[in-house]
Amino acid sequence: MATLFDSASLALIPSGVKDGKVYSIKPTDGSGDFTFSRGTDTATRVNSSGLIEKERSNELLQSNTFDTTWTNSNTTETSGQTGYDGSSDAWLLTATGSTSAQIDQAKSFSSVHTFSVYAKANTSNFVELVTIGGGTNPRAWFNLSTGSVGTSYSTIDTNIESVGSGWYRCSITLNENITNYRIYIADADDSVAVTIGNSIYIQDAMLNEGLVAQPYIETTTAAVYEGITDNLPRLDYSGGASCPSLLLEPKRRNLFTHSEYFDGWTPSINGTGSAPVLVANTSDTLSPEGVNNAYKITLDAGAGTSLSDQSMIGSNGYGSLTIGNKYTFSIWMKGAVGGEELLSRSVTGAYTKHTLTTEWKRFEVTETASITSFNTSLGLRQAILGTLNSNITFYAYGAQLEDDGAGGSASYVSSYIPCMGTSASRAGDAIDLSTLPTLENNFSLHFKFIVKSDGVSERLYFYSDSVTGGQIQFFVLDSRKTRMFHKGLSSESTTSLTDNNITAVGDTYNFVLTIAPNSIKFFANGALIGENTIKVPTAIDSILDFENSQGLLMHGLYPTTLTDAEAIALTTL
Amino acid sequence: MKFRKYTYPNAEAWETQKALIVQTDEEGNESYNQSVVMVVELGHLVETPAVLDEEGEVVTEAVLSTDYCVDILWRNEPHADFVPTWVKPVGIHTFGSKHAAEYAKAYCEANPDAEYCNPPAPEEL
Repeated sequence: MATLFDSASLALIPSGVKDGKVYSIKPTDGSGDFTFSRGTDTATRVNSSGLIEKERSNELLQSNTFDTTWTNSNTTETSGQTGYDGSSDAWLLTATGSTSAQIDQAKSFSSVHTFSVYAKANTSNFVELVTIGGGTNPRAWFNLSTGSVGTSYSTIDTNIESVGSGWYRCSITLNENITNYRIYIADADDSVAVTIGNSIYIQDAMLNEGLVAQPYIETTTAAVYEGITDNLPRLDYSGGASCPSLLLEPKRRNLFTHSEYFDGWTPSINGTGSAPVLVANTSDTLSPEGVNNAYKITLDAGAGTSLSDQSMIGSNGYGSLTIGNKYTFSIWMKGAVGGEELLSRSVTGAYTKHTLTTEWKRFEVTETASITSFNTSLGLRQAILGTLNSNITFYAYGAQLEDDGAGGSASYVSSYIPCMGTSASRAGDAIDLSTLPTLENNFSLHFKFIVKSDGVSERLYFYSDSVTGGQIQFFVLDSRKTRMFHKGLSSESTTSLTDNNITAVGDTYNFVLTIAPNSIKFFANGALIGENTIKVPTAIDSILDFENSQGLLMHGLYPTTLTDAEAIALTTL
Repeated sequence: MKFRKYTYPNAEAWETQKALIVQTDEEGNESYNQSVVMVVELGHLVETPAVLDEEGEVVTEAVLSTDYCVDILWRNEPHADFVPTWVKPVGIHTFGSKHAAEYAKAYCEANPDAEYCNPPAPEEL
């Protein structure tokens, strides 16, 4: 029995994507596939495991070819050794001098980043990872016999992780301007002395942004980027969805320079308060990213109960604010025991109180700026919004203060933009299909999405007829309504077809537009919402500006005018 | 794509130059043309943040730079009339690590003698 789906000339159910492309399941010849662009590699999504996923990269060259690009000093490098992964891709690094036996790679890099390598003891038991720069040369020794971290200098964190067969992944995390990365053989902790002829095994060096080593990426003559890259469409599983939606967001900027490295924020202590205690990469809990890169923060405001008694952290950015514009502050937090209360403040002088649970939650505050420089504070301060517990321990990840980067507001929270030392921006997502087979006189459009935006007018899609200039435009309005506009010819003005109330952010909105000569009807969520008999668009041949903050679940085109019953069935949730 | 940074003596000067990359649709709506991926108006940078009192009222206004700063991610080659300001990589704002790397490379091509491009020889530890 034929179904409505059988009659669709185009059906897009987001499931298959690649760089710059969103595949439609109908037609199958590729003519209905949408092109996609974003252009910035700062985007993230929630993946099918419910975890935040970023772009990943290895900035080192020749990441597992240590006899080219790398420079050696007092070493030889022998390939073909048995690796941690069972391959023969490991290297034997042998000392030919009695001190400073090392290989190094020149590379300028500045941000919060992590340098790592897999290593195994041979006749030497220590590997030292060294970074040159910043005046402090962050470095650390790792004992490959005991699997423990030795002495370290000027690092944010150090880590050694057993991967079996005597192999360990060793990493150091730092926040400095570095020009050179080195791997040393050593016979003992906190020493560069080594016995000539002693050696260790090494494999797969990596340099990536962020507080932890990412899954290894092989490189040769250029850095390699994987994950959510510039023009990869984002299939998003936010809210525990079992089926993905295509995340389409407008441009946004995160004004914070550090969104995960909270030691990059400034402590604010007053009265009876104590200095905040911050622990990077706590092993207490996995972050919303699914790795140990959350911060554990302990605050103590002391016994005082006055305005002056505070223990907070804060961030003052470079970016001037536009008074009167809306900015949205957000951060993931969870309490150590649940019930913790703390305050935040960002673009006004006012505080907002947050109550934590033992589950990660993204807390959001949208405010209209009343000051020209933001002054974000987070923590305990008494007598502002009542008396808070004098001390708390909580976990934090992913702070964001967003605007649109072009003098415009951000009146709702968007997906996370990581910042590892500089503010960062994400361009808007856009998909289009400019070679749509023309639909004339009798046709229907079906569109289903998850409401993401709140409190701002944004055009969601724009169909056009390149011959007549006719258009159909669909907006989500800041009045919590949707609105359909259309015009028949380019010379005619755009008129409003109908308004329809939408529900809340996170809800699904499902509509169909049926078009016949002298009749256009709009169905939403199982009901006929409006109809019109004037200025009916007679054709469409392209879909443009299919964008903005919604999660696209389905889009279909039908070369017939669906009946009212069919449209209602198709839009019933 | 090319990531470049620009400074203007004031916002009005930026508005004048911006006109070179702005298009207007038939309904009068302005948007950037296809030559750019994204434009971020950093604006007047905060040199000294505002000071607030205990009630959150501004005691001392922020001190802002006189220059008006703009970051542009060009789709291809930058517009010839836009003269970049070569801020030491990568300044205070980025479009992502890949674009930051491209900017750093261009910076060193334009400023081969800059200290950033000529790091001191690594010391022996």
